[in-house]
Parts: sequence; C-alpha cells; structure tokens
Amino acid sequence: MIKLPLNYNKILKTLFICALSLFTILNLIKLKKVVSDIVKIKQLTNYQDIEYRFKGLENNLPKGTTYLGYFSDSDLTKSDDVKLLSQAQFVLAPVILDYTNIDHKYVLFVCNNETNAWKKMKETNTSPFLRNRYGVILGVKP
Amino acid sequence: MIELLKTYLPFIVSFLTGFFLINLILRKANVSFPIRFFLGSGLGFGLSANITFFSFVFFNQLNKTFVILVTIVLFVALFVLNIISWLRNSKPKIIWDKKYLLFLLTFIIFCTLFIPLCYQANFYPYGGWDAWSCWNLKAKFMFLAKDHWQNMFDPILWRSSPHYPLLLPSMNVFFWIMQDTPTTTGPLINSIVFTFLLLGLLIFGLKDLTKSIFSAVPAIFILSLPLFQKLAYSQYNDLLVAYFLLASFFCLIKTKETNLPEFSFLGGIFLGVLSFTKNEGLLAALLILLLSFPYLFWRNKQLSKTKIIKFLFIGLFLGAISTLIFTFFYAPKNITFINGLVSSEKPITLMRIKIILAFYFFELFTPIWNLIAVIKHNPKAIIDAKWMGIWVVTVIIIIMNFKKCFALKLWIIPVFLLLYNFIIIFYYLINTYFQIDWWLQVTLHRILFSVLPTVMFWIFYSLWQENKNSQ
Repeated sequence: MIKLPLNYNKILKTLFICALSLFTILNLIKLKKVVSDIVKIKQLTNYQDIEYRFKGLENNLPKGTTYLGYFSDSDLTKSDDVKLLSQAQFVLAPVILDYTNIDHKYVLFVCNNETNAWKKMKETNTSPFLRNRYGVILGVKP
Repeated sequence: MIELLKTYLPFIVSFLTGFFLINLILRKANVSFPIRFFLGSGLGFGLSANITFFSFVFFNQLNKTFVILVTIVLFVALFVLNIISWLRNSKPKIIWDKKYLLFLLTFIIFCTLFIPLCYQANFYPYGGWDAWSCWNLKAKFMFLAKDHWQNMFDPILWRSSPHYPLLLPSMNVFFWIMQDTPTTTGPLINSIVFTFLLLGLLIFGLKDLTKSIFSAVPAIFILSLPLFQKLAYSQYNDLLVAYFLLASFFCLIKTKETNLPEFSFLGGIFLGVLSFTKNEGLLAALLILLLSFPYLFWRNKQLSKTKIIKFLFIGLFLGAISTLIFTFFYAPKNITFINGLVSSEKPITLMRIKIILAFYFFELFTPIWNLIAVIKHNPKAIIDAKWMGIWVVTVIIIIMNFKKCFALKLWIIPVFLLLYNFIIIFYYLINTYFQIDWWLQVTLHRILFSVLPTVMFWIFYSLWQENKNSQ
C-alpha cells in the first residue's frame, strides 16, 4: 500500500485555501465591475421598475373581477412578449389574465402599436374603460 | 417609524420564536450561540410560514388575526419556557482565545461583502423573473385574493408552476402580515436575511465541527461570486433549498457525532421544511431521509437506534405536515410534463442527451474549456467562467482526498449529491415538454447554486475533520 507523506493533508488544505483566496480576489474584481455598472444605470433610474407599463390600472379595476381577457399584437411564444404578459399578471394579481380568450367582459389590450388595440376593440365591439399613460387599455364589452 | 416597525417586526418575532424554540430543543446539548442563532432563525421563519399556510387550510383565506394570535401565543409561551430553562441550567462560559482574532477578521470580511449585495438588491427590488412571476405572484394571490386564492392553481398560470409547494410565498405573506398592501421590501429583506443565515450556518457549522480558524473562507468565496450574489438577491426559492439542505446535513452529522436524539429531531424538522420549498427540495428531502438510515446506523453501535428514529420521524412529520396537506389536497397536476420515453410527438433524442452533457460540462468546467481555447490560440472561444473554477478545484480535491471525502462521518453528502444530480439529469432527459437548451440555461445554474454551500461544507469538513480531535 502506498504511504502518503505526513504533510499530504496539509498540502491539500493549503491548496484549497489558496485556490479559494485567489478566486475571491478575482471575484471581487468582477463584482466591482457589476456594481459600477449599476451605479451608472442609477443615474438614470433609481431601481428596476417592472410595473411601470401597467401603472394606474391595478387600483382601478372593477370590483369583483377575477378574470380579464388579454390581447396583444405580439408573439406570445417569444421571451420578451411573454415577459410583458407576466409583468401584467404580476401587477394585476390576484386578477387572472386569460390570454387564450378575449370573450371576458373586461379585456386588457397591450399592444406595441396602439392602433392595433383600437382596431381589435372595434372588431370585438369593446369600448375603452380605462387607458394609462403607456397606452395600455382596459376595454369593456356591453 | 411605524412603517419600519410594520416591516421589521414580523422578522424579529419570527427569528426570536425560532431562537427560543431551538434553545429548548437543544437545552441539554452543548451548542454554541452562533449555531443556535443560525439554526434557530431558519426554524423560526419556517414555523411562521407554516402558521400562515395553516390559515389557508383552516379558513380558506388569509386570516391575519389567526396568524398574529398564534404567533404571539407561541412567542410568549416559548419566551417563558426559555426563562425557566435559563434559570434552572448553568450558564455557558465564554472562552476567549487570541487565535479567534483571525477568525473574527474573516467574519468581518464576510459581513462587508453584504454591502454590494444589499446595493444590488436595492436596485432590483422585484428580484429575478421567476421571483415575481412565480413566488411573489403566488404570495400576492395568497395575500389579496381572500377566498379566491386557489385561482393561482389555474392551468392558465402554468408559467408560475402552480404545482410547486408554498413555503416561500407563505413566508413572504407572513412578512407582510402587518401591512395593508404587499410591498417589495418583505421579499427583498427575506433574500438578504436567508443569504446571511445560509452562509452563517456554513461558517459556524464548519467552526463547530472542525474548530478551524479558516472556516469562514468558503463562505467568503461563495459570497464574493457575482453569480451567487445575483441569484441571492433574485429572491429565488433556491436560496431556501440551499439553507434547509445544509441545515439538514448539519443536524444529521451532529446526530452521529453526539448521539443526541435532539439533533435527529431537528434534522427531521429541517427535512420536512425542505420538502415544502419546491419539488427539487421534496426530492432532496426524500433522498436524505432514505440515506439517513444507513448513515446513522451502519457501523455505529453507540447510537440508541429506536430513540433516534422516533425523534427523526416526529420532527419530519411536524416539518412536513404542510407538504402533505398541500400535496394531497391542493397541488394541481403538473401540466408541464411530457414523458419523452413514451411520447411519439416529443420523444427523447440523442441530441437532447448531448445537449444536457454539454451544458453540464460548460457549467462546471469552463476554465478547462478556456484553457484549451488559449492553447489552440482561439480567444473567441473563451467564455465567462461563472463559477470561477470552483468545481474544477472541487473535483481535484475529491480525487486527491477520496478516502476522507467518503469517510464514515461524511459519505451521506457525496452519495446524496450523486443521486440527486443523477435524478435531475434523468428528469431533464425524460421531460420533453421544454426545449432543453432554454430549460438548462435558466435552471442548471440555480441547481448548482443551491448545492454549492453543501459541497463547500463537505470538502472543507473532509480536509479538516481530524482538526477537532487534535485540539
């Protein structure tokens, strides 16, 4: 059987601590860059606000509404468009946004081009109930 | 001032309740204050989350009076019992040694690293995508929806994984309990507090087991990792998985070391709470439970088997009662699953296997890939080493220290890690619902994030395990 030198464990310990210390220094250099990037962005905005596009809607929804239809002129299989739907869902929870069905009494129109929203509203006989400053429209059916 | 109190009081009460509880459980054990602090806090937060969840079980909605009343009764009862116990027992003596200075210095460095973490967390108050679209969304439903809270299980919300357990949402609801509207502050503070608890437990768990002055080094390294900081302030549930995983292992190792059923009881509780975090936590808890029997009793005649098992199961039942209720009475079917083994539409392909293995290689061994790129003079192929080579060092240490890594005291961790990863790889393979490259891209680093503190604990303990005996 091979006999290991007495200080073998000591060597391993030293290797481990040295590796972690070296990695920590490299991490700190990287971390400094990450933080300074945020410092730069902070000159434009104080924090990342995921709710802004839907501001003004959450407190003005008709009482007792549990489901809203959701219409978008974008492709809901794409990550960015899904993100917008998820953000709307988060802001308006506990109301559920049904993106598969716009036959609900209230429908949320979230379009990249607002003209598409008005066109769809006309098609589905929906009138505007609420519109926020970012062009998001809550429509209501008669 | 009142707003501050409304935000922080639930945290303080929750922490103190856990601390008082752990003091009572471990009253006969010789356990240091930091261990009581770091285990007690997690226990307290888990307890508060469970009380909140029970409000939904009993009243089918959030009943603030019930949650506050139960919390106050528990708090007062545990406080009184603690005073009685403190008066009866001898007080622990604080022994100071000069060599602790170096440890104190490393601990201060560790605390300093929370400054960039808090700064980043403040900039991203909503956390990462999965935090607000899944965990905090559920918390909002639970807090605001009254008796419609189960609408969050609607299949239309499949992106928020409605079948996942509710520990984190329940915990966040508890932290909002004194407020009228859900704020971003509660989940944000929760993520920072749990990062502190997780790494604090890593430091003082290692200190307790090895007495090494270097026991803060792994935690400093982990906390300095930009990727770790990002995942920590992202408010993901994986942070809780990491904490309860480490706490469970620590308690099981202490059970073996001390022969005290109190530790097996605590281990059981932590395993139970772990199972309520998310499905990966449930899998981990089941695996650890299965492994704990051979771990505790194989080649160990000293342990009082019946008592240890009895206490482990009592703890497990208490910790997992919410998981059982949720799984059997509330959890909807997982609709994001297609069995690729039998599906003709989306079968398993050879490419899927290749992609999984490639992702694991690149995630774990980026420095090796980068080294090859440098040797071949191909700088364009160099990719960002997110984990800074820690997995390469880990593998080297395992190979060079193989016998000690699988020693009697420790083998449960590597065997668990192997089985856990094997099952997760198998799940990646057979569940063909998601496009595999996207799925791995958004989840694999989080799985590694949740096991990293346990891996560091294991490697460090394997190297320093004889340290304690030589003191």
